[in-house]
Amino acid sequence: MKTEDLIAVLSKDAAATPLRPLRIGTTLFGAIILSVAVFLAFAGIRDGLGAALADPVVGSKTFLPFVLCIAGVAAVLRLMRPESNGQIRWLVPALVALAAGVVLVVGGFIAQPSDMWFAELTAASATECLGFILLISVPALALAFGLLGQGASTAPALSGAVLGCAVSAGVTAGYSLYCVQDNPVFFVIWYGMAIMIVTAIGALSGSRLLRW
Amino acid sequence: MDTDVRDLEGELAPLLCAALKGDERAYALFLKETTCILRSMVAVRHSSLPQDGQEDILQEILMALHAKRHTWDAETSVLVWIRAIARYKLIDIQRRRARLAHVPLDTQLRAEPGAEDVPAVLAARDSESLLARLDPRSARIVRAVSLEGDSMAEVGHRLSMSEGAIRVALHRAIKRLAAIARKDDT
Repeated sequence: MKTEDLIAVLSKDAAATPLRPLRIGTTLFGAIILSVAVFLAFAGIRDGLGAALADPVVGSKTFLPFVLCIAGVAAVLRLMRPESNGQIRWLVPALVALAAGVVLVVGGFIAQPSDMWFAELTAASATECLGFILLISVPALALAFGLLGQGASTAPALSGAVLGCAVSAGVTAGYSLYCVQDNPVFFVIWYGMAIMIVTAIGALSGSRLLRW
Repeated sequence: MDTDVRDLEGELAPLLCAALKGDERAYALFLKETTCILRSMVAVRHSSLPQDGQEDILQEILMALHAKRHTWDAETSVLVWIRAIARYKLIDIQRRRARLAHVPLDTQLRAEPGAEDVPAVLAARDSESLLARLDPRSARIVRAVSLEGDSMAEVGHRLSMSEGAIRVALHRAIKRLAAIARKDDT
């Protein structure tokens, strides 16, 4: 085919609706909130939620992933544009969250006697925590990948990773409203683990699903 | 190289802006200008390929640009956007080709120049073999629009389809062509 013929064909298909990041972002949050809402409708909300959220250490298990989710969604929307490629600055929110997590764990070690450190870290509680976060994240992540396909990321694996991180962080923030493990050593490790697993899933899926 | 410094950004941005709103002539102009930019990018990276092979790559990039035209943010530079897409596709194509480095390129078409377009650059995939891989109706629409230069209304009249239906069919046919181009390359 001659290139000028191709241009003639393409030009007839000119009209297109520009990308609307705000709308995509809203839908993305909607998907996360919906998945969490379904879970909370069955599992219920923990006792003493108000007091837990008011406590700076316990409250951080909701606020920290919540902020990470917002930062992640903002980054992933930017990455839908081809000109925003893989740069280190997209990793800054995740690194800040990681640092905050380390501070919380160390603080937990200092504040509690050593026999209390891993007291709640039983196989059952860890499975519950990890399992639920992964379970709620998967449908939201699947939907989120569908939305992101509208974009043109030139860093598909990075986009997928950031998306996985954002979705699982949002889900974690929601899950924390149910979870009664208030020991920072516990929740930082298991929440962090869950978010990292979904981030890895996102990176792998992104490198396949977001290529164009 | 142009001796006078052209404001490509200033020319291309309003053209693409109008194109996205449905201005077909603006889009054709935009694509023509963009093709010049892309052709030189392809030539730099794939200088060892014959011209028809380079033209195949150029066309694949054009189709990618078309498929992603809605991702341009009118607030940002259209040239930066074009180069980002071209760079991504060039790397993608190069990776794919690196995996099958030994497949010889089909250069037969260069040996049989058509009478009227000796100077015109041909891609290795000729129109008819490409169109033969579309369903008959799509092929007729693409042929009418490209080779015969008919307007959408004329094509619609001839195939007794509404203009809207023609547009939808053409849109799908372009997606299909892009998929064929990608597959051929792997």
